[in-house]
Amino acid sequence: MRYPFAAIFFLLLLATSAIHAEESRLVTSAPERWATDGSSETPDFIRHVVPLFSKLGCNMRSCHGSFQGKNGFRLSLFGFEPDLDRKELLETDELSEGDGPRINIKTPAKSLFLEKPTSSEETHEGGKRMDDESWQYWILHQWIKSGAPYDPSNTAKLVRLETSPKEIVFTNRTQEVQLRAIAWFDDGTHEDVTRLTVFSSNDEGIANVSTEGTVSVSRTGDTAIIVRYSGGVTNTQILVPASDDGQPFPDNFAHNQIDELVTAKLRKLNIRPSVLCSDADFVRRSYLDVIGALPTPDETRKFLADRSPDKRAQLIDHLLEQPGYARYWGMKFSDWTGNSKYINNKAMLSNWLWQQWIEDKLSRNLPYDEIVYGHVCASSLEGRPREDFLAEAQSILHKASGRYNFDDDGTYAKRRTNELYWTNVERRSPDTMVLQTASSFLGLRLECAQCHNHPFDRWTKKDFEQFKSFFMMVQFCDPSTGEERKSGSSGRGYGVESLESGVTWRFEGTVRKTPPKLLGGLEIPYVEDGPDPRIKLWEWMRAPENPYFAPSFVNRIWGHYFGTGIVDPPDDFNQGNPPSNPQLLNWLANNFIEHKFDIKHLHRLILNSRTYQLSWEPNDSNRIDKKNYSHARLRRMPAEVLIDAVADVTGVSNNFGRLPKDRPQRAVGQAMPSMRYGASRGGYAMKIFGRPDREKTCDCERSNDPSVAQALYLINDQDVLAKIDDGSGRLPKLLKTTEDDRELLVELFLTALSRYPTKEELDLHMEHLAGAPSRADGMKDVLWTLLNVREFLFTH
Amino acid sequence: MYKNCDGVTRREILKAGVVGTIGLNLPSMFQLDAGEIAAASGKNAIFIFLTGGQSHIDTWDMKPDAGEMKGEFESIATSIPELRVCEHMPYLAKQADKYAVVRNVSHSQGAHSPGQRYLQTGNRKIPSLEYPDYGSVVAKEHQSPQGVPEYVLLPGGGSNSAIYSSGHLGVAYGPFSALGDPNSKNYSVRALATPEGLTVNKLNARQRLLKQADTRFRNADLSDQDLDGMDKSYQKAFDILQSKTVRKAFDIGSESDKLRDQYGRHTFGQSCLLARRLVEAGTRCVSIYSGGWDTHENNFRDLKNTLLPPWDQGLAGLIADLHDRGLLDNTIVWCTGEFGRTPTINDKGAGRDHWARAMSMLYAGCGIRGGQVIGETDKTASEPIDESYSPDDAAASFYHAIGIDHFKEYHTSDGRPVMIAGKGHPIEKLWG
Repeated sequence: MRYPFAAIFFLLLLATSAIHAEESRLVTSAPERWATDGSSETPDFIRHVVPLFSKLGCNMRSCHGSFQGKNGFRLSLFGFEPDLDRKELLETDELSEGDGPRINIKTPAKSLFLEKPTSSEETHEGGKRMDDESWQYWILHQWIKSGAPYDPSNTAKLVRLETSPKEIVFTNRTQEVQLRAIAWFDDGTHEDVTRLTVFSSNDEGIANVSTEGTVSVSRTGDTAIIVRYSGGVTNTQILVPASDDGQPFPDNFAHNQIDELVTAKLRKLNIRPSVLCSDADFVRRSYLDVIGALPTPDETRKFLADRSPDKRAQLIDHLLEQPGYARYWGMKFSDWTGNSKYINNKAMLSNWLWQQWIEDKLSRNLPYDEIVYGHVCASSLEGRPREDFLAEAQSILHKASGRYNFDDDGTYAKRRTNELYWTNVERRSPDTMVLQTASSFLGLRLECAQCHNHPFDRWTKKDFEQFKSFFMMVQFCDPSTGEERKSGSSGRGYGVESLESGVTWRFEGTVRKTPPKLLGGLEIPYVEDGPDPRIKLWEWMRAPENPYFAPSFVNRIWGHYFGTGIVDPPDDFNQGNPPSNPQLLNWLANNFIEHKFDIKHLHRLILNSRTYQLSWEPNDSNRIDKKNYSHARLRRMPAEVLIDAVADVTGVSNNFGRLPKDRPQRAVGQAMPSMRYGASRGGYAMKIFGRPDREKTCDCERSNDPSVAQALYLINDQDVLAKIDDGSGRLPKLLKTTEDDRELLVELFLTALSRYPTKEELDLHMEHLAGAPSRADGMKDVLWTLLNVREFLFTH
Repeated sequence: MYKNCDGVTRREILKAGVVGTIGLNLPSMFQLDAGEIAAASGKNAIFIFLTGGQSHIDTWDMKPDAGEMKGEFESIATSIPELRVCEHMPYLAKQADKYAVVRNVSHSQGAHSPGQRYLQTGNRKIPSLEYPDYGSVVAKEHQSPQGVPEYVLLPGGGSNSAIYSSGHLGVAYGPFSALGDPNSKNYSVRALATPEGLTVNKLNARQRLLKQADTRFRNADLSDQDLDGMDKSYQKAFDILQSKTVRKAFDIGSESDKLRDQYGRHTFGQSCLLARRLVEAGTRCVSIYSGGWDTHENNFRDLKNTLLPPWDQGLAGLIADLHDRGLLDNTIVWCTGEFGRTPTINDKGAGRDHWARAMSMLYAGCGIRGGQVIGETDKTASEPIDESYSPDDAAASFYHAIGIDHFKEYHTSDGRPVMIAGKGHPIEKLWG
């Protein structure tokens, strides 16, 4: 295996060389060593004392870990800054004068540091954290008695944190299992740190873990216990299989490797996958998922009538070649990369340039790493003479001088790089560039590390600062004059370029002080006249061994098709959020790398799997499963898809105003922030159905949650009602051409739900028509109903 | 499933709160300075947002001795001696005993978008998180009677660029948006409109048909949060559509001509009247967004002719009417822009530009002592003298008035802990 995903969480911790078990000596655990006051050994500040703060809850954000401290005493959040912690301990508590010093080396028992956590809420707001003369007490006591020492240069470093067992399968649900945590240090020792370790369950509905690390379970499913000690994070997988209902696991289930890996996990959990979905479900699901549009009634009929055994694979190939594919996935890329605010006053234009640039790459199926290059290493010159760039910029700006003018000949779309990623007005801050790039192309959320060390990952504030330097080594220039941006200027309408020699740039001082460093990788110091350091950044990203680049992308695509990422949320890779199926993620990532980041290949692979083609109807064993892909999840259509679907079903087009040449009036692929379309031009609907304005670096900005406003919209909004009533729409035409009511009902069902109605449904609607004031009136009710049933609103 | 930064799940916190022995108490228990401010009596809110940024020096914070910066307006006396206001605010001048003016709010977000998000949420804008508007928080914290939307957004006239957002609370807490002009002759609300043919009977008939037709998922014994959520949303939507209370509240035509005239026959005045009617019907937060205050040019001409008159009349009418009906006891009225405007008058054409270092706000209701002026600015209204308040404090005051703990912590979908307005402290003097 080229890319052992399961192992990376450990490898990442292995900053120094691996310690072989046989060379390492097991030392006695802390509770044994300091069981009484008889021990003469000095506890280690990093190894024992600070972890105890975490274990006892002292350094949490709601307690002394708060940036303001609590009642005058502050500890670093989660103990990530031991220097600060010790300094704080050695200081006298000014607010509790008379109570004595925090640390009293001569008479350790008189230290506030011991008195407070052993006393009740009356004297310690956080209440009693440990017992008098407990082992915890003696650790702190002995450390004080030894003079409260801390010498960072002479402290063994944690190289690995291990749990055992790594995976627990609970066949007996009344069973309880004790976890054990072992910490390996670079001084050739390892130690049982179970009682200094913080345990937490990622899903308490399934498994609970006590403070001491005893796991108990309550229902079928799987989750992880997260194990944290002294900055190290690892996890233990918990599986609770369903009880055996005697039904056999389906044979010959697997179609490709995806199915093998999904069913391997399902077998462990004793969950049977649902049956394959019907052709009608498949045609609707694949159209909606691949091109973001409903199949037309004719397309549905044709597919349902097709007898060829590989018709699903054929349809997948067909859809991936549709223009809708690039529009829909261009929209997704725009979400992920933050195609939000404008670079200049030509707001409409720059959002469109960005969207069209991505569509160009997707329709040509350029490799994913090349698309990422176009963002990360974007340059306005692209190696051309400055005059050429200026001419191009002028020409695009000139074309866009009117309110609704566009770059219709695609000058910008055809370029190799998308400079807007850098020159977007929201990106003026390098901090935002870091957050965006980490989120877009690595699936990492570095927000935590912006202010403090990441609680569930190894990213430190320093890592963040050094990574940020990559985004400071560019210069911005005014495309109309070619002049370097003056400090303090607004940044609007500027191009971006890698550093030229002799140029002084805005962040030069900062970067020299804080040389760029790859996340978990090498330092790449700035060299004057050296190559563009962003190339190094990109090369590191796309390298096969990068644990985030390929996995985060395949995971996003997977999350789109299944509603739940293997890592979920899909843009939140961290050690506290392990993949639900590491083998699957690993295989998908490797396969993507082996196929040279071929995006359509990845789509084809997933779409052709049996797993994707499963029915949404659950069986008795998989009803509650939400993350092992045993059946299809119901997903509300995204805002744009839903808006287009209403237009398609009623046969009345939307009107978004003037669009780039040859662009259909479809919501999918619209580039501008919603409200810029105006309430009457679809902006209102986009907003209430949760289309993101792409101002946050988080996939969660797009919302597919239901709301009352959405229901009101579909039930009663003028947009929808006018489309149902429109004389030029689908229904009035059908009323003229189709005399038979049942035939007309069939057509409406095929249009809205991509299936034939059942007999009961036909009867229901025939009955309604019989009681309606007129045929047209009754049919409008039926059409309205079809737009409001949940089967229409949800991809299934 | 997700954890907050401390690795503690919400459930653990709640459990801990019950047990009360370990130090996981909600932050509010540590931080709320209980006892310093009287508990507020309120439950409803009307938030009036003057987008673009109202000039403080030409309205609430006149500086007759500021020389060239004084501007074209003279000040007039009000019903309280401590306050003189712009000559174009005669209606508000008469009601000065019923509201408090805060003159020493100050911040540093001098561009519209960040300034607006700050003043719409009580939190400075950050790239990684969208904070929810006040109304969305109120909708989450306070319930309305069946069929009545918790949070309603009304138009206040003028071009309005502010973006409203329910932020990390999700679209479920977005506003019920009534976009039509309540001053128009045949006013109807978009979401409630019953266009030609779609009578309430028709709606009921469709609802019956829908109920019978929407079977495919129901029969499959599914447990799905989104599916159930959509079902509940539909139920609530039909409740609203069929609610006589809501329909009646929006039937502004049933109000007497005299009272409608008192609020003023313009979008802003009639929106204020609608706000009162909605609060009576049980809506918990009404936000009115009034645009056009970005007076970089013709500051004096526009204030005098188009901006101040409707605002003055509508807001004064609202405060007087709420007072007369006893609604001011449990309803807060808060009026602010995103920032003030430069004391210096620019040479672009008698305009004033963005100025966040000093701005004024109006508060009334919920036990807030009317007839007082809090804080002062220097002689050119450039910045507060001595103490000042931040928009966080202003928001904390708003929440305090309606019984919402602004230190309350939510967890975003990705597990991040976010307080409602965690950096603010209520302005004690409002209740002093």
